[in-house]
Amino acid sequence: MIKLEHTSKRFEEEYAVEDLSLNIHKGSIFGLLGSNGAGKTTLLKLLAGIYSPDQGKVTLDGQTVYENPATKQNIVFLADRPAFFAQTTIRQMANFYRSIYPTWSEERFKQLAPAFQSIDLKRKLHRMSKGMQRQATLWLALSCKPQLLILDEPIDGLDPVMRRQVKNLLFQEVAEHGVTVVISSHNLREIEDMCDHVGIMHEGKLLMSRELDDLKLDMHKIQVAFRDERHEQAVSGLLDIVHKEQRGSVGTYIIKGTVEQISEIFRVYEPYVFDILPMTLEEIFIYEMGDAGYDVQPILL
Amino acid sequence: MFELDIRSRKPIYEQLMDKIKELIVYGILKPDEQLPSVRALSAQLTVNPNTIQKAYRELERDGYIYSQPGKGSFVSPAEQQPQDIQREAMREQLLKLFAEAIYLGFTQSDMEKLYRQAMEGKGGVQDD
Repeated sequence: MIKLEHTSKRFEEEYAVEDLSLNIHKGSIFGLLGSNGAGKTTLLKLLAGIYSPDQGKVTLDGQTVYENPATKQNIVFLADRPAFFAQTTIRQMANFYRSIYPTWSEERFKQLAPAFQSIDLKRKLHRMSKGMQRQATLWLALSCKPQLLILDEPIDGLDPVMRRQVKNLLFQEVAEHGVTVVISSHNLREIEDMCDHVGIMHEGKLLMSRELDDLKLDMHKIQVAFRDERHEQAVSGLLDIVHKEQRGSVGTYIIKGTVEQISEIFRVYEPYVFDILPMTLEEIFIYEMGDAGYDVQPILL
Repeated sequence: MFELDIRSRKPIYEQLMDKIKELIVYGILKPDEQLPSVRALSAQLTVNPNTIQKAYRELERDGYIYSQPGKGSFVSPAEQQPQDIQREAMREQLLKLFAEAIYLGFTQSDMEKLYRQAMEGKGGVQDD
């Protein structure tokens, strides 16, 4: 299990991560979301032991991560920009990784070759496209057989076939070896499909960290047309309404609560129209960020 | 065997649960038949194995399937299937559909006709 306890990281006077506590369970796929500059990459680098926390602790299975090679052997971090030594081929990089990671599996490296068939073993990596370099880093990372894989925007720049391929490979790692995966991305659809837990960050703080399905069962979108305008007010008092929009006689509400709670309250008034929809992750993200004071400004140019 | 709609708003584990329940109700999955392993299904559907695990766990809690450590998950014998829960869920859905049907001008005899039709078609090929 990965644990952050009251962790802060400051760059000069600015807090990139502030008093943040988080648990990530073994074998889960954790999606880290957040606004631009929220501190996602800093958090990932703290997890990977690249930064030392100014305050608090970052541990993997109870062991400190920073400057602890015994623990870091089990972690692979893929930065948002692929980095290789100058003029190297994937074979040369593989040799380098093999010398660093004791768990490196030559067999695995060969097994994965068909999945990354577009990468020529003899071609220089710096001459490849961004997407192919991405593939190369994933190939190397998976061959290290880590217990914890930290991926900063891993899917960006991959074509749809490769995305599916990479997802399948990650899922197999999770199912067969209980690997823990931490992913950051702005592609919420992708996160929604892949992850079982999500955390949302804003301005260095964690707004929430939940199981994705719980999150979805906890907030709902409701479309309703009341028989009488007064019913609306009666209902409003009983519910935790996050957002409300009225178009003609049909109102759209975003409400916190379970399906049962919400429908019980509405049903009393027998509205003409009553539809209850689960939220998409994108909607949850936007409303949660709105709650934190970060939303789309109504600017017309 | 399983088709998921990843664009749907419905959580994937719920879709999976519904699908498996449907297969059990229609007898496509027979009692004591083994369900695909979490690993196999994950690879086949490109779905997070934890999500599949969760669907199986919930199905087991509801009594649709049982698991044997080290062997996998199996469909519960028919007499152990949780009919009450199914009936309650079905009742709700029917009520909603009936309300819509009445609104669209269906009469009681229309409904009865449909009921008879369903009885006769039982066990045959289902169409929507």
